[in-house]
Amino acid sequence: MAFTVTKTSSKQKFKHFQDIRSFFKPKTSVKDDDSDVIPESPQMEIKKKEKKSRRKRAISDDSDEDIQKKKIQKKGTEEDLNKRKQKKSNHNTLKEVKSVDLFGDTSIKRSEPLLVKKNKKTETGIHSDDEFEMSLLELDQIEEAEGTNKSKEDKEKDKIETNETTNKKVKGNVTKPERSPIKREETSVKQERAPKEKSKETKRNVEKDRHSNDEKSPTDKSKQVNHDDTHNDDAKINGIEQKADFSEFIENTQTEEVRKGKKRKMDKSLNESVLTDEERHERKIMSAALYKNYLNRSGPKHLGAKEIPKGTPDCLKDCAFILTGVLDSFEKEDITKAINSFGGCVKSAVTKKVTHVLAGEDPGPAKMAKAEELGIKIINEDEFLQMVIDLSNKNKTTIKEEPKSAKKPKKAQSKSPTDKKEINTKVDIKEIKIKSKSDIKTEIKSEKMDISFSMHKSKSEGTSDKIETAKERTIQNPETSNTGVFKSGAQTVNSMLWVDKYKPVNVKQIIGQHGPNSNVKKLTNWLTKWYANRKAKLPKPNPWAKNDDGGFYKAALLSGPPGVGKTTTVSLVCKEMGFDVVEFNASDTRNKTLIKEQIGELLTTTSLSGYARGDTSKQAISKKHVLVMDEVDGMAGNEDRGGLQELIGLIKSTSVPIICMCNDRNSQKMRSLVNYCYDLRFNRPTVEQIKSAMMSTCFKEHIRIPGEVLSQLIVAAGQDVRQTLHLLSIWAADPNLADPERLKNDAKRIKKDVKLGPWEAVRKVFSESEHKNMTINDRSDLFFYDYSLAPLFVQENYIQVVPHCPKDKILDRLSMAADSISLGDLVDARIRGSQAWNLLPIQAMYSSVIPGQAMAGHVAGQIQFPGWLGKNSRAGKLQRLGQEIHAHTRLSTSGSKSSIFLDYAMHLRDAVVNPLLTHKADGIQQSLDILESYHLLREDLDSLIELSLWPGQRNPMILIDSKVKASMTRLYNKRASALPYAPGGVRRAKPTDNDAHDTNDLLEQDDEIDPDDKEEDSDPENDAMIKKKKVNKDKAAPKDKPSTSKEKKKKK
Amino acid sequence: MSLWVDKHRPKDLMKLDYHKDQASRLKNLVQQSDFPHLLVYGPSGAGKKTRIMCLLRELYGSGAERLRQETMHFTTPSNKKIEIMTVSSNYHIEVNPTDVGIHDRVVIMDLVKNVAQTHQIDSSGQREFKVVILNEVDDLTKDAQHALRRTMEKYVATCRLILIANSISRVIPAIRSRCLTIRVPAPTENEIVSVLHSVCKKEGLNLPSELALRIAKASDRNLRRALLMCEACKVQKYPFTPDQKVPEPDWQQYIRETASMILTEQSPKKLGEVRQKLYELIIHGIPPDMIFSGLLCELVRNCDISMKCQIASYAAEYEHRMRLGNKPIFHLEAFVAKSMAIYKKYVEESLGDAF
Repeated sequence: MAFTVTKTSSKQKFKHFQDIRSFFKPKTSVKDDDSDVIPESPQMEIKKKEKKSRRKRAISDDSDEDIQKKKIQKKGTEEDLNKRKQKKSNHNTLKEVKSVDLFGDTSIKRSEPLLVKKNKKTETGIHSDDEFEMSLLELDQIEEAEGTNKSKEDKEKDKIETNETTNKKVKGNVTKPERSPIKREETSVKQERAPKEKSKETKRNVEKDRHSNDEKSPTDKSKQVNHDDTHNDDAKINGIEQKADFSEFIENTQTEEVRKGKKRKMDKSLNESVLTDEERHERKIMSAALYKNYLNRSGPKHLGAKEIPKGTPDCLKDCAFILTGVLDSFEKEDITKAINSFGGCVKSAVTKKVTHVLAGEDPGPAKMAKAEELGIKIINEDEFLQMVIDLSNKNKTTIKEEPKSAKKPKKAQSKSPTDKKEINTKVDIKEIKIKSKSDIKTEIKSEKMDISFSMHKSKSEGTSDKIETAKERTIQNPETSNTGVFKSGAQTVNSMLWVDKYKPVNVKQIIGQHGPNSNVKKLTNWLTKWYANRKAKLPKPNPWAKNDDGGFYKAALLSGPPGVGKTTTVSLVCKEMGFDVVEFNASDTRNKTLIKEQIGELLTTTSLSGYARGDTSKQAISKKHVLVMDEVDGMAGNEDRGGLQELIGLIKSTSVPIICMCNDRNSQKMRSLVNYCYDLRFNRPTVEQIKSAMMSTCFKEHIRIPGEVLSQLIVAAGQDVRQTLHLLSIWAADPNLADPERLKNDAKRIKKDVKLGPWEAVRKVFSESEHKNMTINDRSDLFFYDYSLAPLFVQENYIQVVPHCPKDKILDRLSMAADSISLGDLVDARIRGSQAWNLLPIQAMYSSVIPGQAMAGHVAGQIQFPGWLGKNSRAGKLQRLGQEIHAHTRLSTSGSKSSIFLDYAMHLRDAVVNPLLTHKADGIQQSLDILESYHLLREDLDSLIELSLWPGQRNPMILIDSKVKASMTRLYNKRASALPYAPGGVRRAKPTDNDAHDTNDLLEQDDEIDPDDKEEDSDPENDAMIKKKKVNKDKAAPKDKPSTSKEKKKKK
Repeated sequence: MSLWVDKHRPKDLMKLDYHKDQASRLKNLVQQSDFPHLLVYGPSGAGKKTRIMCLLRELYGSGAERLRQETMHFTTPSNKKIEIMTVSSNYHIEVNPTDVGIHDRVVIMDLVKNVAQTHQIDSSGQREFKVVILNEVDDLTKDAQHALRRTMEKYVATCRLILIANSISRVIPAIRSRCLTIRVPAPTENEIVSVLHSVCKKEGLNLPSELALRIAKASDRNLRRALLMCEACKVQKYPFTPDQKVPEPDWQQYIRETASMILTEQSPKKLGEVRQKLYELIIHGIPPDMIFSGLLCELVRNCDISMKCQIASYAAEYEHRMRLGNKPIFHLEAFVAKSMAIYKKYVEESLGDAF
């Protein structure tokens, strides 16, 4: 689902096309080789190993299968390489002609970098920790050597530096003219990009590796700083030490560029640190003045004088621009728009990725300086326009022409003969796979001969063939590009959904879960400490505690919207921690008994999955399970009855970690569960986070989607990674993908239908900002998210809304809203009363839209759950109690139920309670007389008190001594007066007061006797008429079983 | 030992304390052989039930006072089992159909049919009909009322209905026209005073007439309430003093507080607090129409006449809506919001005039 590009993995691809150009520079290409070279010189080895070690850390879970596969691949590649090598050596002299020819069938290139990549991987995979340590040792030795003499590496560096300093400007000049042909070529044959970029990427890796290398060995670093400072001296030394063999020299040229970037940085930092305070102050003043100028500067002088020419939509595809200064006839925004529409991008800061600086009047001096430093081409407005025209023209021509021809000049320019020679010699010397461009070409050639791909048709067949091959390639691509990801070789990647295809394989790839406070970290931490925490008795944390590590909880509850990677996170984290996952999701029946029996059993057993993997050691049996209850909010309905309660019970007694997942932790169903779970909330990743991952996916799938369209798509999908991937895969199947306008429209139309909870919906109802782009239908739709709850939510929360209106109008608005809500209730009554459901839209208007309009503003506080529900149920309860009392007192009172509420309740209560208060135990008799004369039960007294108690009043029963209460209850049971009704249906009220134990006991006894009571009551004898006789004769009337039991006791 | 109100309830038509003309007319009615359906209405605490019980005694003799309670079971067309408590003697059956809420129609149809279809076997010295007493007829659903009107005619030979209601405005005209309507007006304050005196005399207490009058005033011409208050006064303080405090029902106090909240501050926040108070009142079973009238009485106390009209008319409107709707709180709240808006405007205007 969530797929991120790990920087460490060699699979990384470049999203920024403008960088491709650097490929064609001879030196960079050479550099690429070096990353894959199995070096002979010790320095090289060190570098490589460093790289490996680093990668080791990253892909720690790379399994054996991977290695095996890679080995096989390696074999293949080596064969290829040998062939290629031979050819290369043969064609050394003819090189230029060759390359021109070769460049035509670019389509084959695709496989080449992949091979290289795999090889790289195998290297990393094969090397064990021992090797790494060896390499470290070697490093140390080298460092020692450096102490006395310059190590080879240093020499290298020095050479690079010297080369660089001398060649820098020249290089810049050389590269610039190259650019356009490259671009042309790329636009015409976009498939080519992939391999190039891959090689570039590896180059990057090398670069990074170097960095890390340097950083690891502080001595190295410091030395380098020295070099930076003392260029010239080093150069001299280099001159002396150029006895290094030829291969090394080549290496140096490769590494040169790598160093460049870093060195520059270092120079800078050094410079800055050297600055004195005064200088800084001066700078500040300068910049302040500049800023003033900037603020005062005028707009474009001849605005609208020129027109932006119509270019092809991707004519500036690989260009990154920096705009600085005031342009002559355009606003900055217009130019930005134009560049974007031509496929280029506009950067905000000068970096290496920037290809052009479009300077107007008063350009920013800092930007210009930096641009010059980086050798970026500085153009003015007219040049820019010309460039657009030229490039778009060229594009057109190249598309028509054979791509071969487009490549010719580029190649001629890009490769100086010496470079090629170097490369070739290097290839000869070191038997390795080659990534440089020229090598790629040779590879292409060899492949063309070796492999009879159907798509490899002769170049002369023209563009139609090209398209065909391109299509085939896109199909083929996933298989090759994802071999690293999917270890099960049997699986055909073609049939897989993208969502599965680009599923993260380790936790680092999960989108938006990188930070130290990320859920992945928290979950990992929680799982690691789980067993330890069980021994340590931890207190329950404050629910508002911020940095709780969940130690107290035995279960974790992951909540968040769909498609953000909850399940992925859990499965990956568990995998990395070595837990066996026992998963139950909504497709399993999870009712009470099933959870109790099945899951309960599962958790006490040990896992034999180790054996299944062929591991027969003792560790094969691991007790580390984790129970994953996915989609716990789906545990509802008849099948899963009692499931949640049982789950909670399970959590209480579990001996393994339990992870639950749900979408909405606020939902009613989750209420009970959340108290037992460590709360981990997943938020939607930001658009940028998803975008970068999607870009890489798009790249792998060879679909081109403009950045803005992609972000639009992501927003439309509600930042749901899964949904975005699905949408992309649908788009990929669309043949008219190229049209960016259409894509834009499509993206607009795609709007994820999210079901809003009532909370969000009611917020939208009252939010003025939301109203702006909502039609009346949209607003009434808010009501229909839950038409039974929506009116209640609106009614509960409209008071909290701060309407955006004059202060003196607030009350008017409020009453308008209240009036509308009351009308809505009328409609509701009609709907429910006569099943007139066609009136719902009218209710939507009255209950939601009109109040929303009247109170349009913002909700000041938290959205409250409708209090009406609670109040209503309480009112219902009191009504029931009142009705009971009414029924019981029916014989002796007149008056309806409401008279009980209005008049009787208070006075009856006082009549019963006051004697107890004033006379204590002596008053019991009096109280019981009242109860008896009104045929009230003991429980009815509690109901009476509940009925008559208003907020702010004290419960009079509290004042009564509990002894008095107890003896009263006892006496009451003893008296057991005959009741004219069956007391069975009454026993709903629980004794709420703190009566003595015996009260409860006696009540329990009463409960047992209930059925008998009923029978007796149905007896016609049991009239009020014969009541009095009966009371005296035998106490067999309803209530006296307890007393009879007591009599029995007495008899005993 | 019951409360005074039940202890000293008159049991004979001729021993009633007030509306004596009516009592004698009822007696005459009973002494004739036939007897129409009755619809007895009047405010709470006026003595409707007392009169009906006296009437029954007059009809059937003391046998009508031997009451028993029975639970009857019914099944609704939707197969829901409902049960309802009835009070009956050998001669009559009394039921409160609104206890079962919206299923009252089933109760009325089945119960009346049951009773009406069983003839009196031994009719010697007995009446030929039984009496069915239906309480709170005005709260019956329209369905139930319509069900009633046919049965009233059909079984008139074997049973007579006595319907009790607070107000006949919500009894459908079809029923009204089929019954002899008897209005039992609330006792005047003087009548209440005299009743209080007689009760106190029976209890052997000396009640100052000032206190009796104050109780009568505070009781809202509700004799039941007056007697209960009187007894409460006795519990509170005896011997009576003329100026002793008359305990007021809690809910009245509560409504008054609520009204004063509305008058002290008009703001959304206050409305929220008022809402909680209203909820509390409704929870405690105070009929929402009483809340309406209680609030209105307090609100109009200190405002000028034009505003009084406005507020009263809104109260009437929202009260009407409340009767039609489901959730009284919505309408109460709308009324409160409206009156707040009106009051605030009025206050601001009068302030503006002052400057």
